[in-house]
Amino acid sequence: MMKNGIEKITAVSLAIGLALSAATTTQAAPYREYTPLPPGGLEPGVQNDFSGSYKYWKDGETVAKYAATLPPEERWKLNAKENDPPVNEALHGGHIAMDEGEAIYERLNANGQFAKCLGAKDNDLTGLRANHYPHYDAKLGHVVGLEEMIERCAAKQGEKLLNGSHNNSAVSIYIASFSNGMPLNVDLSDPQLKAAFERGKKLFTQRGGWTNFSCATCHVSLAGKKLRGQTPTTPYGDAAHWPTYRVKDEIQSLHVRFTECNRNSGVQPLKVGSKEYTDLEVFLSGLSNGYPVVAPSLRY
Amino acid sequence: MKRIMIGMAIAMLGGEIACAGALPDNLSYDPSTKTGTIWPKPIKGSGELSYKNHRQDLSRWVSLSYAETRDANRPVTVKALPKGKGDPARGKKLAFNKKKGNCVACHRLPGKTQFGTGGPSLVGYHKLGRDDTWIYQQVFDARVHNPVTIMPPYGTNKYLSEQELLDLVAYLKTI
Repeated sequence: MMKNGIEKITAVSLAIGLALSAATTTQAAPYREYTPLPPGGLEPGVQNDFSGSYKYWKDGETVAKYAATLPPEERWKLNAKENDPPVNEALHGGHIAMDEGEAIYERLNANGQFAKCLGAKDNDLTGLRANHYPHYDAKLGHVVGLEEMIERCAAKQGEKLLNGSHNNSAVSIYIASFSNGMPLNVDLSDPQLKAAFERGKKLFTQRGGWTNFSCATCHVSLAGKKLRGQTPTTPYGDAAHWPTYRVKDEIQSLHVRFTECNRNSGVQPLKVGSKEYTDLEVFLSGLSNGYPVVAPSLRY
Repeated sequence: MKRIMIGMAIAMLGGEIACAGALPDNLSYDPSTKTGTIWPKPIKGSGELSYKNHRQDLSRWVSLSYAETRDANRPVTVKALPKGKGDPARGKKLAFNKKKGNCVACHRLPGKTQFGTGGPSLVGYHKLGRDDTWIYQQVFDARVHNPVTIMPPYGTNKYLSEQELLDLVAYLKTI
């Protein structure tokens, strides 16, 4: 009896103590579900693609060969690379945007400060897209993508080029064209970029929205399966051609694409340039490490 | 006195909003618009963005924001079928409707030429002999049958109503 009473008191005070500590310390992480990683995980570098499609899109010559021979139900294995040279050399809106981007760039860089702000040495844009973005910016104290820096550096020259806007993406495509054919090279030995890559990987598998879908629901679990009229592809090798010309006649940046992915899967989109989208950008760029930059590119 | 009352009302209102859970500030969201959820659309030749409303308010469910503190909905086991009778004709419409069940996005259904292969074909589904409660559970929250399913929990996430789910059950038993 006595013992029971003491136990009760102890239990009550323990409960009060727990309640107090819960109120004073940080709250527990909210409940989330995650899509399981594919065999081999989602490690950086195009060669680590889990879908078995890499051998069909590893370079232009291979894409050209399989674009001519793969049956319709297997064309997803081309990873949409048949839309880029050398298979598709057609003129499209991306070329026009690239010219527009050049004119805007020349105007902003009249005094050489715009290129310098973006990280180019001696006004030389060669390799800037492939080797320098995304990166950790010590002054800003966070990881930045090329389009975020275009907005920031343009503002310093008194011009508004919002991240995700047509003109911002046009400048990005123009800058990327100086990296054409150069393999994407995100430095994941940098602890800040590595941390962003890992955060991005977690977000990629995190489920949300009314559908309870993650990015990985479509691009891992359903890669190669039909969703009515479309077939989702591997996330590997996808980040090296953004911003891109979409055939709905829009120059689209990667972050704007994320907002489209989100709402198509019933998930509330985030702001362009948010930390979450930048982490996803770093993650997808890491998965494209080793794949050549394409500018301008075209996607359906 | 009046001023004090107004002040109290504002304070209470503020408290209520905080209690309801303020939305993360990095959502693409504008509460002054029709549905709240907005998405950016580039304008040709411009350094600005235009925004359009999504057809529904997606902030009702958890987003990928790091500032999102709400729990996602845990799996819910259906104890008993709700009252009411399902109508297979209505169920078929819901299954084909992209803004409702959109079952054809992943499943093959009789009478549809453009369908998905993400989930199993449902042609001949009645032959599996599932009872109403099992089928209702599957559309309400399939995670109870398979913890790693990719099928949306239409009931738990309140995307479809109980009546709509009953209609789907009735339809599935006819195919």
